[in-house]
Amino acid sequence: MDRRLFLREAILLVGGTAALATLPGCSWQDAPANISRGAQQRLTKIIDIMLPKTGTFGALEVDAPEFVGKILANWASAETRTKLLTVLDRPELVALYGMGRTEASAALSKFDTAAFAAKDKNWGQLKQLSMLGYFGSEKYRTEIEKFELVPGRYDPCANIEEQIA
Amino acid sequence: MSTDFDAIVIGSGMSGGWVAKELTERGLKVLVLERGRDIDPAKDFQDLVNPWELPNGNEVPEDEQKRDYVIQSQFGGFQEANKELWVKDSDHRYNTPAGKPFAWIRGYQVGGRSLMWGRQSYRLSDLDFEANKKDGIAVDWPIRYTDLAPWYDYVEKFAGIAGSKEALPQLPDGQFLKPMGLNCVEEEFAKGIFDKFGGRRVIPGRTANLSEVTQEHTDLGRSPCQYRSYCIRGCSFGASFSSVSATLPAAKRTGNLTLVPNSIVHSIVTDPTTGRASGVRVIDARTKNPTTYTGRIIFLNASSIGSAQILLNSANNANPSGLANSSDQVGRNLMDHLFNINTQATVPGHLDKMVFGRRPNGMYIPRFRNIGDDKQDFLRGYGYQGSIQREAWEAAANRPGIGAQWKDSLARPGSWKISLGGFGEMLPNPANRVALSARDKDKWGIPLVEINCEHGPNEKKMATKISEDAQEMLKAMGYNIIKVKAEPAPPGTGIHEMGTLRMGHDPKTSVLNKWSQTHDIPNLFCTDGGAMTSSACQNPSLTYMALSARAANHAHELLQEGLL
Repeated sequence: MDRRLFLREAILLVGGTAALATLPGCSWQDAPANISRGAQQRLTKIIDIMLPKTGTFGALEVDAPEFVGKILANWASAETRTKLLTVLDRPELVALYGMGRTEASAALSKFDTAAFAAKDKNWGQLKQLSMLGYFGSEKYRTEIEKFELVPGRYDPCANIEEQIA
Repeated sequence: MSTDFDAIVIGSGMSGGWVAKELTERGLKVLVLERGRDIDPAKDFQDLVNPWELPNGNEVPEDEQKRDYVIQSQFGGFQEANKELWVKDSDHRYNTPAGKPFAWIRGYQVGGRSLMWGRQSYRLSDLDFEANKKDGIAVDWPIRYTDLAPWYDYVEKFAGIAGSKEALPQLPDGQFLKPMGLNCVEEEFAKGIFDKFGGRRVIPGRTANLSEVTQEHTDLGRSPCQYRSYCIRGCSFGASFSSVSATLPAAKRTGNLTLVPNSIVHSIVTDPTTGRASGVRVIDARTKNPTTYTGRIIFLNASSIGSAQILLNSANNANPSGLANSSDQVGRNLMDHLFNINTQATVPGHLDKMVFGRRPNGMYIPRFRNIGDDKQDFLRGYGYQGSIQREAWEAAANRPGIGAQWKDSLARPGSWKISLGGFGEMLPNPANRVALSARDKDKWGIPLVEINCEHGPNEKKMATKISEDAQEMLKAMGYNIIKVKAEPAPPGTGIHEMGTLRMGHDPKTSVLNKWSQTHDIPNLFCTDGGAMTSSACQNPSLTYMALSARAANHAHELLQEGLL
């Protein structure tokens, strides 16, 4: 698919040219064949709003959307994949494309609160995978969490400020 | 290669490794038969892989789980990084009756489940060894604590058990390495429980991880624990005790060990003249070619269910109901610990503290029910295992929140959270049994095992109390309970199968004598979980180790005296 067609699909999905202004970067490498371009775009948008760049890097910088896409393609059964991808078609989430970042963040927050109140497991799982894609990434674990594969010792009562600093 | 040996050991896991070590070190030529593949830690252990390098976030694909690991995936430790260490249920089937699930969790490779075990290592006491007799349940253990105490000492020193001396009569102290101790919040919990519940104890778990090393450990190439807590992927440092890290290397260096992987034991062969065990009939797992090995003594260490299967499948004209089964107890009295009764709570405060490193251990609350003046409406008791740790980002996945502030808040550790899980004693019941299918066979032509096992009234009463006591403790500490799971998981899930070849005084009612020797066939021994006359509530592997070393020593003495 050439870049124009790719963008057209994304634009059609969100209903107009207004979306172009807010379309997050979507340059998945080795995109899974069973995750459509549209789904990739929607997932990227949602995860970018969920885990934005702040004083620290955001989800897009660690390729969290790609991670979720690969999980859906390679880990999930067809049934699970369909259930989770269907979440992306919810009108509240599709509508995010027409919004600026502030408005989209408020809308996603409202959707998230309502989904948890309704015990929406599919959204919960999609959110969990998104978080795993970010907090489980090499960049996050090494640069923020300071993960050590081989700690070599155990301190049962460390001062948090010393550890985090 | 010769097919004749002084001794044949069936199984290379926790107990088989010990028997191999003890017999080879006493100069016997020993054959160890392992039904699974050989293990090369450098290639087969995934403990040096960073978490982000593991496919699918370390989760096994759903379709693969459903197709190949429908039982094994029920165990929390099953993951992409170690899936090759668990059997494929699609290849290794067994039957259970409708409505009576039994989770048979297995690892078929050199080292067996000793590569993935939880490493919690506790002695039984005379509270346990005397319980059946006092309660009039099943049969009496033919040994008491004093019989096993020196062997506990012996195996603890070699294996390396990190623990603290507590002077508790129901949980005897041992030969410990320095403990992998409680963190500061667990210390506060321990003090609170002691004060609020009349001296009830919370202690560091006793774990088979090298918190420090002795010359005996380093001689085998074992190193101190690196506090990674990836033991369940196999430990490349040899700090976690297993057959592969310790007993089999010790056996190998004697020059007396022959280890043959991919050897599925079909049955034990007997001499028609003497009635004694003369050999083992084996099927090659890959080629299906049969081989018969001969030996002067034979040790069954194929796990409680596996060893019963072999004896039942060894039936012959002289032993129509199976070998060593004149008592009709082979396969009966299957037990597992009550498991997966969990309570979780958030712990207020201590937000200025965290831990460094990942301790492969937790805290332990030794049994306090039906001890001394405490009397319950059920028999026996239970202990708890758990930990108090700071929540990570995963906890936030279960509640609303998105966006910049939320994301940044998750960069710091969350609240402290306690998790307590009960391990309860299951009573022996002859109706809980392993039998052979009359109809179904595996792809090697061996009858499938049929497992018929369920919790009885005593277990159900105990399960209720396990949950109630946990909640009471957490509430008394002022913690906020966030999860209660009061129903135990199906039997088997504790991965502590026991009792199918129980020890006892009387050949009419038990399979093994006080030396783990079958009453019927003196040169046939069993020292895996099958030997357990009762289950106690402590994790049993340390007792298997002690029984194995003791029985191997006795078998050698009998050989020297010309009695076998």
